[in-house]
Amino acid sequence: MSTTPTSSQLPIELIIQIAKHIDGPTVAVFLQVCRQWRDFFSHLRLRDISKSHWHQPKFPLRDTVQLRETKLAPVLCHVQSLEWFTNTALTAPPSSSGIEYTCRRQRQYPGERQLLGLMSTTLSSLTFGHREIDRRTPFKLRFTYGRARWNRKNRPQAILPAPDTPCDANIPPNINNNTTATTATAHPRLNVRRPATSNVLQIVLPCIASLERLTYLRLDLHQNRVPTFIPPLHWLLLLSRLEELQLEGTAALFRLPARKALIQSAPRRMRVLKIQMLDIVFVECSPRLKELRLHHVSYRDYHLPATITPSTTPLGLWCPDLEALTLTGFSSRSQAPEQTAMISSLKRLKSLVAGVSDVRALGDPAGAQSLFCGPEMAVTLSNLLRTRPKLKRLLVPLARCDPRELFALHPALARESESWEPACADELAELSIGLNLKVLSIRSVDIDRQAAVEEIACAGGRMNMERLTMMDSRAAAWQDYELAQWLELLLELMYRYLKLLKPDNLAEIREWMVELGFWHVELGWENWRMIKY
Amino acid sequence: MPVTLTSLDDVKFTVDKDVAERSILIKNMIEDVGESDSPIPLPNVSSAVLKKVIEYCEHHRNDPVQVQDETDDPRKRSNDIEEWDMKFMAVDQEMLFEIILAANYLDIKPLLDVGCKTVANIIKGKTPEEIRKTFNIVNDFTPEEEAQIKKENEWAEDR
Repeated sequence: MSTTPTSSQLPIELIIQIAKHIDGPTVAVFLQVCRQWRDFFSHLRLRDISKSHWHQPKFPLRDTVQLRETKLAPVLCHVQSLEWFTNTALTAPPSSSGIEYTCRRQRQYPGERQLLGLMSTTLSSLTFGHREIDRRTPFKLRFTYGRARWNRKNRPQAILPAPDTPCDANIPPNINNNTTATTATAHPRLNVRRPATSNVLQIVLPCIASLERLTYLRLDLHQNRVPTFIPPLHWLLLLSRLEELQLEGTAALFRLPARKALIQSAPRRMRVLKIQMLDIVFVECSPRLKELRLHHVSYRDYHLPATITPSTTPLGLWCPDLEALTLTGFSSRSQAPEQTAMISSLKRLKSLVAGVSDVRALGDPAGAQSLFCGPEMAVTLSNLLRTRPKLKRLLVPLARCDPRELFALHPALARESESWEPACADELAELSIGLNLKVLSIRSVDIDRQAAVEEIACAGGRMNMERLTMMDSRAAAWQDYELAQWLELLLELMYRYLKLLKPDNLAEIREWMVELGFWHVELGWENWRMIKY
Repeated sequence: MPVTLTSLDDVKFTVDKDVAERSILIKNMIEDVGESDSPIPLPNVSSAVLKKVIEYCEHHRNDPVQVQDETDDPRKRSNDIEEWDMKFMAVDQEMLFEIILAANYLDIKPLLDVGCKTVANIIKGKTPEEIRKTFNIVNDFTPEEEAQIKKENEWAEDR
């Protein structure tokens, strides 16, 4: 995706904005423009289903007699307006036991029961025949703690109703304000693990489907368990209604049919998504996502390289409003182009923590947000800073990184050693600090300090900066000329943190501090002793 | 208090603060920097476009802050453009796209919405080939694919 389009070219994120305002026939024309547009706009094809559609001989839902839940759910996922004008009865879902949506009316229209369970999260209007369903009807959601197992930390390991627990589950699918449990934080942490029987979870998931926030959900999803554990379409009903979710699990690699369903039924309301060791595919159709945290053992083994490449779909395309991105995990040189495309496409980014190796795993005492990554990321970050004026917080975990030290720290990185070069160009010298940047943290091995100082001291870079952390773990102490540059820069900063200063430096700096009336300075030297003035 | 904006071609515009702050980008910058006489550089916007954007912001300076729609209401589409906005957007296509790009960069959502609705109105009723020409896009479908996708979407086009 071009970031500097000509006047006759709009970036695809703006084309998507335009597409929100077009009608059905124009969507059909959009799909015929090119392959990229076909992929982007195909989900809009069935956005509005009106009475007139049912009269079209080729309308894809006309032949619903054979439609089962698995086929209908993805189709209805993006529907915003639906008029259901057919007398065709849907066949029962393949696993209907446990899921019962009871209508308040005595008479049900054919297919109504199933539709209530499959309904789109984007739906704003629904008509059966000529009768409007009142979406504001209050209802009760009984959340029963039928069986709770407790782990060592004395918190529920599973919150599952007993199989015979009656479920008051007449839940209009889009209602989330009148439930008795709009947020899981009102309860102990929700930790749904593999249930004794699949039926139990099939009861639970529709019950919690009206939650807006789920701060913790652990799913142990393995390929071979998916069919017998949680059918993806069932727990997608849960995800699709959530605005905030923290997911954790051991693995979720779906084979093609399941993954296809995931993409089409992805959570469109999600604003905060924290994923640990799960599939990035959740992100793809979450246009309202504002915060994303990804922790992967290896991007290579997941869908990231396949779905997010410069030639296909950068992350910014799927999540144009993303403001905060945290990437941790291990990576390799070959993944730099994907990461570049992913990060540089995020125009509204205000916070970025881009690390490839989490130092927490290395036992680094510097703290939770101290990260390292490969030298390839420097170019990405440099571009990012030039073009993203809204960026306010950036943790630069790189610049010049000697991987040998990392490899020595963590054996898991050893396999990467061949693809990393010990030295790299002076990326930092080209680093252009954004106008709004307030927090800059550079933690690296063998950093080019002088280049960094010169760059940060240049116009614009220090204008708004309040916090600068500069750690350098190489053996060489600060030279006097370097320090002189730093001290000049420090005048502009509210928070300072330098390390590996010589004792002589400290005396000199102290003199400066007293003279200039600094209020908070932290200086350290070789033995990590901190001296505060 | 007036705010000075500097365009790509180094033309300076002095506008009232409440006008400039229709742009979320500029609002954030003013908040970050504090009260300052320094001009705010807008290196991605030319003077011609910035002039138009300022005209829009001045006209809408008293509008309430737009709350983002929680649902994309299908009934609220491209036909609800105000009369003044419609006249404002009566410019050539190049300028229209430049305004959209500027609105996106400056984060002026109402202007972006009006721009997108205007483009949506323009392309309504056009053929795929005309849309390709409008957006400078190359057709990468094979003839077979093109026929197939046309066939799949006939039901929607016939409405």
